[in-house]
Amino acid sequence: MKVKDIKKLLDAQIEDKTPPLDDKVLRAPINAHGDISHSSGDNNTVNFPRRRYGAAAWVSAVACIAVVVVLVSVLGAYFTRQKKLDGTVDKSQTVCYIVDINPSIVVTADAKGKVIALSSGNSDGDVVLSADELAKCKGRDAEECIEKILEQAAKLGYIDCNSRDNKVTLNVVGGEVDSTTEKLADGLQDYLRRLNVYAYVDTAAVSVKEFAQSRGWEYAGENLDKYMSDIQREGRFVLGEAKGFIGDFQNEVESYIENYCRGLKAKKEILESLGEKLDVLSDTCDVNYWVYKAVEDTLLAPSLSSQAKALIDECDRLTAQLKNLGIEISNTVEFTYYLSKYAIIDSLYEFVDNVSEYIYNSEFFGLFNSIIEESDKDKFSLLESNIRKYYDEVVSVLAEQFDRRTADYADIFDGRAEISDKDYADFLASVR
Amino acid sequence: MRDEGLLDELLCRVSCGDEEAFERLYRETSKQVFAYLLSVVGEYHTAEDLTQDTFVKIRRSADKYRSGNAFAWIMQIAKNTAFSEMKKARRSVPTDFDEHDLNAAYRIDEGQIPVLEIIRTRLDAADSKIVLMHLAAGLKHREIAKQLDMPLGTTLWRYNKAIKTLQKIIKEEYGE
Repeated sequence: MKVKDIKKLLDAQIEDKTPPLDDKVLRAPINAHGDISHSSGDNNTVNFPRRRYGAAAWVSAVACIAVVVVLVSVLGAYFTRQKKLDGTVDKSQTVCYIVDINPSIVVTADAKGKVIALSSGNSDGDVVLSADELAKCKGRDAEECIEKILEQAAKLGYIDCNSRDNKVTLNVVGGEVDSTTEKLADGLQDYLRRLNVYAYVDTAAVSVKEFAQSRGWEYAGENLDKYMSDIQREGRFVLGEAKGFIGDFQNEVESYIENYCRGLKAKKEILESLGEKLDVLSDTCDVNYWVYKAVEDTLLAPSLSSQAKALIDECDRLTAQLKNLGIEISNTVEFTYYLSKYAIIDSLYEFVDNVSEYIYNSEFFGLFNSIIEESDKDKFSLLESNIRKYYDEVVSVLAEQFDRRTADYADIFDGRAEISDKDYADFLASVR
Repeated sequence: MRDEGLLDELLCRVSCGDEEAFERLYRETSKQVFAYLLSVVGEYHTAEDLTQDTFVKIRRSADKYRSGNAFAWIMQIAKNTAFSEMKKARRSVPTDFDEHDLNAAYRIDEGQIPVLEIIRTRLDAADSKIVLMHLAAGLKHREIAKQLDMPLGTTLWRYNKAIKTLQKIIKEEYGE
């Protein structure tokens, strides 16, 4: 019996045993906050302090002839795509749609066409994504989301409403241009027409590799493919050894990557904790911690309530911890900078998860499950060295991404007394 | 496959007091929650009670939910519920299943292969947990490894081994 048949039977038997929704549950009150809008921007794990800047007044419409929209129908993100042993990709496992706009915007959607993520690849993309309506796209239809992106692009002048020469290209990445894509393109064209915007919506296909390269993943991706093919070419290994090895290896990779991220994670957690305290101090005691610290030993220092004193002590403790970790902060701008800088850890973890998923679900396991011959013992060292090289590269890519992305925005804040909303938006978008 | 977008939307609606969304959320996730709790506590009746407790807690904590990782959030509540129950009952994670509970609580259609029972009673206790968590509760191997404090590789190999054992039992005893 196949695993999927076992699962089917198991699901039915579990369903039979699952208790129905009864009054005991329904009688419990729902603690509702009554405002659905909060949910689109927040996250269960990342707590940014509240922004205290005014409304964005920095956006200037920039005329631009062409907007390129790339619809990516990849089988999961680049690293999560799942290959079968014969090298084809199993579409049933992870299907997602990514829309990339140049100005670069990537919209990722799930198998049902619901948007699960939005991100940008350049500053023009950030400008488009800064629109409030786009912040609520998560969970909605990809088509609806792309319409809003185009509408926003038109509003901001990336599509010239007075021109008839605009061009929108809808590319399918990792797949072919099929009837669904054509239908989507037609729908978008109609939508633009209804907005009195004239643009030709074209369709094309982009390979996953090209897409990955455009996202800066080519280094790991190419090597990964190479090692995968090396391993495949070398064929089978001794079952007992391989089993023992793969267990150790995965454990080792986990620790290696965990160790790499641990330091960053610790800093992020302390920064977030400090952010919460700063907010409480400011909201309930009306004291700005940084201002207070600047005048603490002078006659200008205000008298503090016991609550404020306790909070300031707590902030002192956290800032001292950060100092020990090499982060010295003396004002709000610096604090925001570091907080945002270390928010990148979430994307690193996401990247690590993707890589790990790829390893655990790819040919490695298929190959190990197909090990049958004792005579392949001597080939095992090659596999080991290939895997080790691979995971060294994974970590080097992590380091490279972190350095590159932090270096991109490091100078935004240097030597400035204050930052504009645009700077801040660019900066946040670049680290998220 | 988990529909994170849907669960996220439902939870956000529940956090605004939407009863209809809660009922849908229950339909979408109660099976996985029950399977997970069954894998942890090993008894049907306790797992049923804890499933209801979990959803009561979801209602009470709905306002604390923030968009993202809806399934993980629900499973975290299920996990906390299970562990606080076990702490309360001063018992550790059972290594074997309750014979009485098994006989009293489960009946299957004649002719149907009792996969759930085979998993619970014929597999090694840890293997049984891993199979239920992965196959029925929908947890990823990484999540299971973390929960069971076990290296990921070990989890994966135990899962593969357990599935092969399961297939062998079904073939030998039921001819399929």
